[in-house]
Amino acid sequence: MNKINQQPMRLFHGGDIDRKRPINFLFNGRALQGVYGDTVASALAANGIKLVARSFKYHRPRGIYSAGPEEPNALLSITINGRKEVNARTTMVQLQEAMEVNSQNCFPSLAFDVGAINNLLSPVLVAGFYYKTFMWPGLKGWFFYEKIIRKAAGMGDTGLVADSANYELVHHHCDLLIVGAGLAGITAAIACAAKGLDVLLVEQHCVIGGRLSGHSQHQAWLTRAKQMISGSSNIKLLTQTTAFGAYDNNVFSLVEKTQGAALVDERLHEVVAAQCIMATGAIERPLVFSGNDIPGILLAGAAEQYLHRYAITPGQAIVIFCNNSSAYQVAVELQQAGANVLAVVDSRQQVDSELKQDLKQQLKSRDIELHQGAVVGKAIGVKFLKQVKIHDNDGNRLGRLRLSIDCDCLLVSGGWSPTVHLHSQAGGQLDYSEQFAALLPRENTSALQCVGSANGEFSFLATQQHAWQLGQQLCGQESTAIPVQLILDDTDAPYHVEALWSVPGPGKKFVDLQHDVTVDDIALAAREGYQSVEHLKRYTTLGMGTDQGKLSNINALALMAEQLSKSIVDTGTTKFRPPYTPVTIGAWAGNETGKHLTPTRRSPLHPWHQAQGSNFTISGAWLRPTDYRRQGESKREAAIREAAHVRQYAGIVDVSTLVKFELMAPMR
Amino acid sequence: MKLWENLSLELNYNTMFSPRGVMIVAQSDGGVDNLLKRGNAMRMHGVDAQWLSEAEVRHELRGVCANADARLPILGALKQPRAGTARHDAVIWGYARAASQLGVDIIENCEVLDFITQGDKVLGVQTSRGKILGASTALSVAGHSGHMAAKLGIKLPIESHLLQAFVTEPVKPLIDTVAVFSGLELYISQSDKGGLVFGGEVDGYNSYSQRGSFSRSRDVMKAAATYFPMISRLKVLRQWAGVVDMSMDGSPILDHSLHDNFYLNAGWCYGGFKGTPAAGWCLAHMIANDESHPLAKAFSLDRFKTGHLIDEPGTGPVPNAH
Amino acid sequence: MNRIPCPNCGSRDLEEFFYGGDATLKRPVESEVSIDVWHEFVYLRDNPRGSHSELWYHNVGCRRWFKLQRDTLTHRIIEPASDKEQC
Repeated sequence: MNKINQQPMRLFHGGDIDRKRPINFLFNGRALQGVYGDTVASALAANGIKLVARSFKYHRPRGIYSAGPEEPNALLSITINGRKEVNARTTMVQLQEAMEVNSQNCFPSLAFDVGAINNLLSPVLVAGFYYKTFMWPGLKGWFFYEKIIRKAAGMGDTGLVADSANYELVHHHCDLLIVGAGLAGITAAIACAAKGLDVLLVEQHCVIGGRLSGHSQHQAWLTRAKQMISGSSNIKLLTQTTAFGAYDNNVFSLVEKTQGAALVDERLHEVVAAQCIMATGAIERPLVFSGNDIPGILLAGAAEQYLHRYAITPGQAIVIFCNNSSAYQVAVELQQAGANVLAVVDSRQQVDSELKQDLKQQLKSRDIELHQGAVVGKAIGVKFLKQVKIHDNDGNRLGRLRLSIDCDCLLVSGGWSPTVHLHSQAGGQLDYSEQFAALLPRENTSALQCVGSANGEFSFLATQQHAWQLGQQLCGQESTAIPVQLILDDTDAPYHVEALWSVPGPGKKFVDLQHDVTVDDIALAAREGYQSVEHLKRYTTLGMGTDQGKLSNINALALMAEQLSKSIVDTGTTKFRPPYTPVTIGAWAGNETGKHLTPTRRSPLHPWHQAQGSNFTISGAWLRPTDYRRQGESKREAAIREAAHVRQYAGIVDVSTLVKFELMAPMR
Repeated sequence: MKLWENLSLELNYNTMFSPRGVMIVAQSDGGVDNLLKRGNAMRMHGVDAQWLSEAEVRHELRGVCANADARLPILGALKQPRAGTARHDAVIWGYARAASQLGVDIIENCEVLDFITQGDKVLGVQTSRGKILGASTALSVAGHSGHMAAKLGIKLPIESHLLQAFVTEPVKPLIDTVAVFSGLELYISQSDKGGLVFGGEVDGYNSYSQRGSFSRSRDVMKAAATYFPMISRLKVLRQWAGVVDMSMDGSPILDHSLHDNFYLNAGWCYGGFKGTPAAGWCLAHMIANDESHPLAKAFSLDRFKTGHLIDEPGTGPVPNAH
Repeated sequence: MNRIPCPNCGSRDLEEFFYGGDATLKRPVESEVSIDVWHEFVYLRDNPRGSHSELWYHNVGCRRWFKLQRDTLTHRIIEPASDKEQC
């Protein structure tokens, strides 16, 4: 039997996976199979599972939305070897044999969730509803409601059993830290390592290459790059490692998920870097329209990842909705791989002149309809997508209905936001770029520089050249040309985007998918005076979920600016704070916990005290004997006996804990 | 406490005040003595206080670490059952709305650049958006009292320090009270949304930067993972650092003696939020009557000169030890 | 803030140091009896937002006190300790 046949969405060829190594796992009690190389999310997608979770407030059905750390929906609880992780981002967890994967926040089951009644109550549960309701009668009233709210809130149930995972801390001191091993990071690393710099290269995924990984076209390049990296004794590569904090003095914190490969489950790396390059890439934005949360709708870039890395097609009948040029390639690639792409809907009016002739031809020859100046006005479906309504893009109001397309998958691309989180955490400023409709780093300091799409360089060529130059610069070397074997033998189409923050018209349009914050909620917050972005965030809980607003922040900011008729610059942005991705308390703490919380000092006579049956008390860092109880004696009785003995005869006291004094004071 | 209990109704705004109790856990014999003393002092002033045995602490803090597994044991706790938490944003919004309805203008994004004075009188302030004059001027700028008072030539017994705080992903109810550990310091509670909110000691050096140090953040994590062994698997979503006014005796300062028409409310250390209704009440009284509220007399600035310090932990004039 | 430049040991982690506060304070002479003078020395601080002269003690390193100039708003070390400024 061909095992792959059990995974209906898996293609027969391609992907960075090993089809000969099947991995069995359970999803909500159902036995499923993935393959080696899968993440939990890709394994679910391969099995054609669309509905994976329920949203936080309205318990609406949600599906896998992304392929990276920005995932707002596919947060599930995962149990392996008796250890349970709640709210696990399944897009970042490697699939392992015998994993038990379960949906959260639904009762009695994922498909039929009683909490979904909140969806019907949604007119009452608007933004800030806590503050206006649940108050009567009097204080007692709130106490009553609060009990229910506390039970209903919370996503996963973590239980009271002690965490059995092992954590440890590792220190690094390096010349150069490079965050992100995509095209930019790899190029810069090789440039510096060749000149003798001590480089630490960090990649959050388990494979390097970023957008290029798994791509058959770039296979040869990646193989060469990998060889150059592994051949260099100056580059230390950490995969499955996320840089989550950029602190003062170029101190960085990274967390490595070993995922069962070592005795330690998670490892904290504290890095002191002389210099740092942020090659963190960009995160694709969703598009906001009525019904934009229905399972079957996901990011176009994510679909590209699922296709190339995991050989998965995201649906049977696919429509693409975009406001920029990056999604066209995805359309063609999906069709090439055998998927059925019906149409590309582009909100921009004049795309035709911009598209390269060969791309246009490819769309035509593959029967992919192109709808320019059009938007998806509404997506239809409940637990999975059934149809999309295509309207004219008519600016501030919903235009004429052009047609309806039956489909089970809609890929969206709202443009790309550079991943500037660490730059901002480190104190870097941001500027809004009209050209890219995104926040870009304002300036690069000598200690921390952004490169590639993190710096608004949205082309392979520009990225690679800047990365190479930067690497050379850091080494203080005269510029040399990029070695031939490192040059990426491909150029991409220039990137164009036209802001589309939300599609007008009635219906629930979700800005924050995890916390169910809609366009109407933002309008309400603006009307009620919560206009500062910081207030907006707190009032609506936008961006406060476990995805930390990676997908929603810019859209919300722009929508608030629209509400206030202000520019995005004047509306302001919130501060990026650590951690970049959620980090466990255990990893952050490292191994100095439990008995090792603080050092324990024992006097030289400690064994003697123990032999006398002493109890100990804590005195600063020291353990000191309190009493030597005899059988049946209380502490008080022992103390009285001891005192009497000292009065009548003599006593000995162990003051070795006091022997060493350290007096310190500055001379004033 | 009564001000808190009635706040939501008074403001017609749900501040989500939740009296789930606050307990301070003793972790050494000396700590037990200290907290018992504090508990007795509270009761003598008519404030609720209970002593919880180790077993009672374990009953209330489910999942707390066993003494055999921890460096610092749990020996008991002092509990104030009527204390609790409130949603800080809601308190601010509620007050702001009520004040606005009473005719108070609240001007956002308006930085005070300097004071306008005439002799010993404070007439008003010069701001980034123009001049504002008033019969009275009150300085109530937690964290920034030091450099603002300096504009009037006043040196305060205050240093500005950083206090870090953290919040985790939301989980089903785990911790139903507010727990403070006195050994390696940690305070922790769970919000109605389900996130654990916790923090520890101040960073310990003068700073206005709102950027905490990594090693201090780790101290807090170590304590959290140790005291509650089940939460080390929970993920932290956000970390931030606020600037706090650390006074030299660890107690707040409410004073009207510095200049004419000028009132100072400062030095609340890391405990300002819990004092909000009382501090506001006393400050209003002071502004209206040009004299301290009887309850706030002891918090005058001259206590540092006369020796009537209110130094609860007894650590002396070292802000980073409070 | 995470790193402190020690004039003897070089740049080290903050954890290794003990903070001694405002370095501009001058201890009054023993014979001083004025309450005002002592009050100012013991309790009052400039607490500037910006450049701050302060004392640090490298307690798990060279065990020396030194004085440096640091910006309390940005945490930038304006002037590290020179040998002379060890106390």
